[in-house]
Amino acid sequence: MRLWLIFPVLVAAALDARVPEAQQVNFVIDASLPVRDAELPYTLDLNLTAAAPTRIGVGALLDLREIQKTVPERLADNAVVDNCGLQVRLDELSVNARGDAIDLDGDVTITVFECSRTSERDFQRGDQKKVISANMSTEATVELRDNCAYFKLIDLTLTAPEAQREQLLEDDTLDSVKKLMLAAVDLVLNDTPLCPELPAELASLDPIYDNGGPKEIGEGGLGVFLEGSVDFSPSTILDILTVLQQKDLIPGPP
Amino acid sequence: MASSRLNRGLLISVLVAMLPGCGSKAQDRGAASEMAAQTDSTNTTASFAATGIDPATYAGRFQMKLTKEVPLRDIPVPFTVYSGLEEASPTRLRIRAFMDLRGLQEKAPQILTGPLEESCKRQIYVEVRNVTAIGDTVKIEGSARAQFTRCNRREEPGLRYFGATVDAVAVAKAEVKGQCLTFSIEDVDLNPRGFIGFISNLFGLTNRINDAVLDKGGEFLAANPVCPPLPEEFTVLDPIYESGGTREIAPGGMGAAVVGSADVSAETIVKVLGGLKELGVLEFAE
Repeated sequence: MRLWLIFPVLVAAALDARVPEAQQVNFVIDASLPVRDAELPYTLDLNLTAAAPTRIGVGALLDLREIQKTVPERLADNAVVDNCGLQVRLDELSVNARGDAIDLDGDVTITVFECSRTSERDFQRGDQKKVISANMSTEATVELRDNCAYFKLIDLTLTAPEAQREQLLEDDTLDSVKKLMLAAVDLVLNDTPLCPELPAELASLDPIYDNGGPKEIGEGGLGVFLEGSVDFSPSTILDILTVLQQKDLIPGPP
Repeated sequence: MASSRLNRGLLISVLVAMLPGCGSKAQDRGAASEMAAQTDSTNTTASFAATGIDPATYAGRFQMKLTKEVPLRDIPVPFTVYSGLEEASPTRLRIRAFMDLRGLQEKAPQILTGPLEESCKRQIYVEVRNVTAIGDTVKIEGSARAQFTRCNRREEPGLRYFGATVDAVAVAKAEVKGQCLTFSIEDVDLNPRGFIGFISNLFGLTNRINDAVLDKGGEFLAANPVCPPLPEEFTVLDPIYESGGTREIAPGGMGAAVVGSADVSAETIVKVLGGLKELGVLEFAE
């Protein structure tokens, strides 16, 4: 008749048993990278580890394989450099992670125009002088700044077909194209940092990253890892619970 | 009035089982006013007025109200728990919870009425009529019917040699052990009915019944702590409950207050996150 008394005890015991024993927890989070007017989706794999009584270690892996697939399509046929005398169009691009490096290979079409000055500040593009197809190959890496990951090109190699080589050597076209391309790409990359944002529920964790770099996921898959730690206090828990309550995920206040 | 029960055995006190709740009428205003005094006037908010529960008993920066119906012996019993969490130090959280046990109090007679002991030597049946909170104790009123028999060869009750029905009033008190409330009987007052009662007093049987009730009832209560249905979100904190007990809500209403704390370390936070994830409230991917 009083068996029911045991019930709450069992519930408590069962709950306790359900709490994972490992001192780490993993969250898979849908995230997105804002690029101009688009949002490119990626997956944030967040791992928290009780590294020491007062330190929670954070490992974040940004799975960018979706972006790796869509970005070359979005960039195709876009002009990377477009000024009065020169236009560089990206015809094809492939991005591949290799260990802790990122390889970019592609074909570009370089078009050189006549360019004449029409006033102090204006230039007028004239006739097309020549068109060169070249192969581009470069390597990118990831830099950590202000808690964000920035892609950065290490170097760029442009190779033109044998037949067009002599013509190019004459006027250093490839060299200036390369410099312009590097500058243009750096500008774009600096504008699109990967700043992994945690969902509101976990925002109070506010990880500080102190290390990061490219990471190959599976076969050639593009990923970026970030490592750091969380400064916490008992309030961290209260903040998390408060957000859960605001979202009606747990019972409300009296 | 004892006539129809002359043969039954005696009695016992009812107490038994109760746990949480019982309360009495408003006799003991002393306790009530003491509680009101603790509660400090600044906290006398509207919710206090509405529920009769002092908000100081569940104070905290984060608060939660949880209402849960738990079936006890197939009888649905509503529990309402108010809880509060706040930072007690850079490494500790303070937890305060107040359980409104008036639902249990109301259902207690239904839940607790039944056999207390059924051995071949004696059978004791308890009928609980009323449960009242008085200050930090619980009063259980009812009656007990006891039969003393000889065991036959098959260890079944055989020849009945004495029986009586006794009105009983027991006072129980709760103590916090671990995260549960353990009740113990502080006092039992038996009042045998009618002529047989007189006889049993005469032969010291009332005392035997008294002992049986204290023993059996006490044993039962010790073996059946009441573990408040605290929010699962708190359970993952693995708190240590340090103090508490039953409290009277308004006149006679039964409640229980507990205070505890939880250590906050890197491990706790990771465990809490893991626990919340298990509960399904931290999902961020499709």
